[in-house]
Amino acid sequence: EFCDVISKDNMGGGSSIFTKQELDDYQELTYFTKKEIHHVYKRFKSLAPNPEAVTKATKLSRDELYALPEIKVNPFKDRIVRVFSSSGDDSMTFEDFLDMMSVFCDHAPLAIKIEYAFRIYDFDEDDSLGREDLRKLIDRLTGEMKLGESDMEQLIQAVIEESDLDNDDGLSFAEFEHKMTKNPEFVTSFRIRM
Amino acid sequence: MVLTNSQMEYILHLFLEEVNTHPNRRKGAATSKVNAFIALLPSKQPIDRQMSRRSTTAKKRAIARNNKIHPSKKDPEMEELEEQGIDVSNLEDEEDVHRVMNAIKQLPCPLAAKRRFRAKLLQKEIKQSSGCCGGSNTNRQNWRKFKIWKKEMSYKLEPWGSWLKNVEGHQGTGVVSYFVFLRWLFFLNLVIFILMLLFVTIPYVAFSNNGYTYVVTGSGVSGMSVASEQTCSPLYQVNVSSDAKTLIQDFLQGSGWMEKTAMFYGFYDSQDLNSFVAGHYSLPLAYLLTSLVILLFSLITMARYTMQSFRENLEDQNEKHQYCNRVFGGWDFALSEEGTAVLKHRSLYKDLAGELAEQRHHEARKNMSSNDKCRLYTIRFFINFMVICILGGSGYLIYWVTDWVTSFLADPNYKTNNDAIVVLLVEFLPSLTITALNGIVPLIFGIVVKAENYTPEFTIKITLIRTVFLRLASLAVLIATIYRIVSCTDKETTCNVGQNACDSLRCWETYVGQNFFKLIVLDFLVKVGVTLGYELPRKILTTKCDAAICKKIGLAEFDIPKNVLDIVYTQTLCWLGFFYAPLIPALATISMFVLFYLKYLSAMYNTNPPEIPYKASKSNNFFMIVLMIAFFLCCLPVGYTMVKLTPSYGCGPFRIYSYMTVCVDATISNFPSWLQTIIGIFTSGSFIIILLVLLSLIIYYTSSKSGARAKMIVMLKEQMIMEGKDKQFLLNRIYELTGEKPGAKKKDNKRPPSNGPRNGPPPSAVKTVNEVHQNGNVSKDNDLTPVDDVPEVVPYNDPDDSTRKTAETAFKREVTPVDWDQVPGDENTNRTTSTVTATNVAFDF
Repeated sequence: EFCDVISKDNMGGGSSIFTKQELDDYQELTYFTKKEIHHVYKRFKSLAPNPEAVTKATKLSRDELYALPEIKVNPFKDRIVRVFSSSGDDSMTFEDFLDMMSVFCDHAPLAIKIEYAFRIYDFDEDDSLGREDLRKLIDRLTGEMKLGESDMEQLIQAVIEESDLDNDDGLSFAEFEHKMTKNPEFVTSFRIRM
Repeated sequence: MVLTNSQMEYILHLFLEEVNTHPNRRKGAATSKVNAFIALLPSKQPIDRQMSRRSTTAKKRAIARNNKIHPSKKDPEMEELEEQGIDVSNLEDEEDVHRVMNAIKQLPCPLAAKRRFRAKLLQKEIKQSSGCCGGSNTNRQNWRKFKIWKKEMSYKLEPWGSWLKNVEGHQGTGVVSYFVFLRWLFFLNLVIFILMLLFVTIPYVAFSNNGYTYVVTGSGVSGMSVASEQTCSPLYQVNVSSDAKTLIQDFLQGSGWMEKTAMFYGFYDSQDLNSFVAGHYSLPLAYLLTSLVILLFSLITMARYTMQSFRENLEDQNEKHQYCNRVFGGWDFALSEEGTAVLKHRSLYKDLAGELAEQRHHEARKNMSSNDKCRLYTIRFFINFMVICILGGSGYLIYWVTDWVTSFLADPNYKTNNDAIVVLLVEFLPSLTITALNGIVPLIFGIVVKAENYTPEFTIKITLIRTVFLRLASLAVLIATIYRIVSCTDKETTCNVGQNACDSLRCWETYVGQNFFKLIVLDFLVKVGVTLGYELPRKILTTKCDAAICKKIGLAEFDIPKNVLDIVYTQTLCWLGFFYAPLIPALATISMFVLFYLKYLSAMYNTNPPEIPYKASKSNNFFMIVLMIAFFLCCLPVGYTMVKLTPSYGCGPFRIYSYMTVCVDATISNFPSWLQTIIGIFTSGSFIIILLVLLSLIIYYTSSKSGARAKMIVMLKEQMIMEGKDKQFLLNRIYELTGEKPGAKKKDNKRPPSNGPRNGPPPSAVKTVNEVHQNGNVSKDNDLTPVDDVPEVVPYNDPDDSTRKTAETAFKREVTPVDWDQVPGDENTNRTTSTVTATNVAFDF
């Protein structure tokens, strides 16, 4: 078929890794082109201790995923791995990995980025960013230096005051979404270059 | 549109009516009703695109949650798709399939689930004419590829792009904004230089001379005299020394051999040039028009630059989200280096801590005792007084030095009486004084501002404003001194050259140009010196020397405000000087170009990121405003020169005119008479008045429009908050009546006004505004608890009146007491025991 010709041209026969059906699906359902999908696969393979043994079905463990430089230095790496792991055990198949890279890529729309950012920041997974979530989030942002207790309280209070429209002492998704659509820095910062 | 009380009542009434008429509710029916009523809420009506988008997002989320909860669920996917608002019923052509596919693509669920959806969709699909790469699909992909390519290309074409990236990784976005600004100024100067080169220098050098033809003299134009030019031009002589030392000295000062080069005004001539195209090329006109175009071009580019950052900033002013932006958009997910990440953590910490300190400071000042306030204001008053004194003193010092230097140079034998080095120093003394003051006085400002106890942000600003004043004031004094020399009244009549007490400047424009030339050269040398002679040794000292004292010195800090002011100053010199020395923009361009690499060196190796959290976007605006002020101040002397001062008779492109603008009159006098009449009308006073009135009208219109929009924004914000509240209120009512369990988390928020004691007798009617449902999650059937015990009699007993009016009147009645504690459900629900009437509740919102 036409598609196969294209992908073979691009990848020099690398298309044999995926069936045509898979490639179609990936292309339709992510924000990547065929070439980029193969690139993501390469990166996925390189994370494994034994890249040659990696297949599409291989699950990379959390520690293996931490080898990705962007994940490695990210203060939210455990949350990212958790959120994108479809099996919920912090391990990722290639599809999960592709999904993650698609969300973080340049072309992904703001809405989907906001959705995943919300999940990453929602540490206790109660579908709301409460005070405890914010505390963890800020602690991770500042790294080794910790804000003092009064500073932390003041900051959490300020964030909630700014964003909490319905006085429930936390950010619901709608409130988070509202804030993020008005944040010009969010789109540029929530991004991992290929 | 804020939800009014009557609307709320109406919706409630409709709901209660429904509850009353169907006493035997079933689980499913109740849910569907709940959904139906929620759909009735005004906030749920798709008013605009954004609204509907938001509601579909909510649905998507519900689906995604289900998927997460039951990952192995083998549900009929098509139903799920339909539930989330993706219409899969009529998939007629590829366009529809594409639409659905796009919607699936945006679902926040694992790829495996999406693939299941897609498989089902493709099964259902009847018409699939072509394979995966159907026509529109390929087109779309091609378009996407083209866009990617375009992006990559623009990235490649962006000069210094990778340099900026490195700086960003090392120093952060604040410092990058300085480099972007520097690059922008570099290009601005490059354009100015090219304009001058193309329209003034190259024509004069390349074209042959036609002499004083009608093109430059015009016909019947007053204020034009070729005769005095012919007497005065030969008198303008420059002593060119062949001594190597003097040659270098002359290069630095723009005197001697440099004076009669294309760099300066005096080099050009007012004669008609024989251009290739039209045969005639009036250099005076070209000189004047090019200068005007340059000023206009600078203004427009600056305005555009300001507008861009202003638009981004405007959003920030209307609503507060400084903390949210910092917390949620703080981490740069693209960071991939350990060292950069540590720096990022540090800068985020400083940023947050700084902002909090500022807020605390703000509050502390509010609570200050009057005694403290009095002391603080006294201190501030004295410091401001001191600052003004310093500024005045600096101004006087510059004035005095310039004056002394002029009198020193007025002595005809000064070169023979003094050593060459002394002469050079004296010549440079005004420039040296200005540069030294610019270096020392800001340090004093930086120290005294600490005593004034301003907020960190304001501290930066006030120090900057003072420094700006110093820089502009020193330039202003210099200009005033030059003006005094130039406009000296005791002048001989033939060539308009000063005599006796006045300096005999044969070509005063070149003299002005030389002053700015010297300033720009010195400014550049100082910058190179500071980077190589101060920052670099400090870096070497810190890295090579292990002694404790060396470590304590540490690296210098990249001081963004000071650096930005430095380049603004260079730009000011360029704008001031380009009219008197047409090739000064070339110097400025080179200066900016070299400065980029110098500053890159200092940013990457010699300095640490600034300690103070630096708000790039806000301060950028401030720097731009400073640049604008500098620009308008530059326009004054240049414009005054063009219109009011008599040009030198012995040099320059305007030597035959008594005023520079006469060259425009001369050109117009050569036009056909009808054109002259039209131009006469357009330049007449009455036309300009009409124009001014029109402009004021436009300004008035725009400002009132923006005022209206500001009101609109406030209103929309209120509406948004109201929508959140009305939803919660109604949801709580609904949950109570259907008996559905509200969310796990509860919190007492806005209590309705209570009419009795909290722990008093059983309430007559309890409102449940305090119950806040967290998720707004209503569509889960299995969460519903049995509803048998819900009171069948609901307080509003006018069910047959379905018109709105009666509903409203009905609602105003006293509520029949109901024991709400009988309502089943959750023990953890902590209802207030206050009693209110329905009317009260309604008006509470």
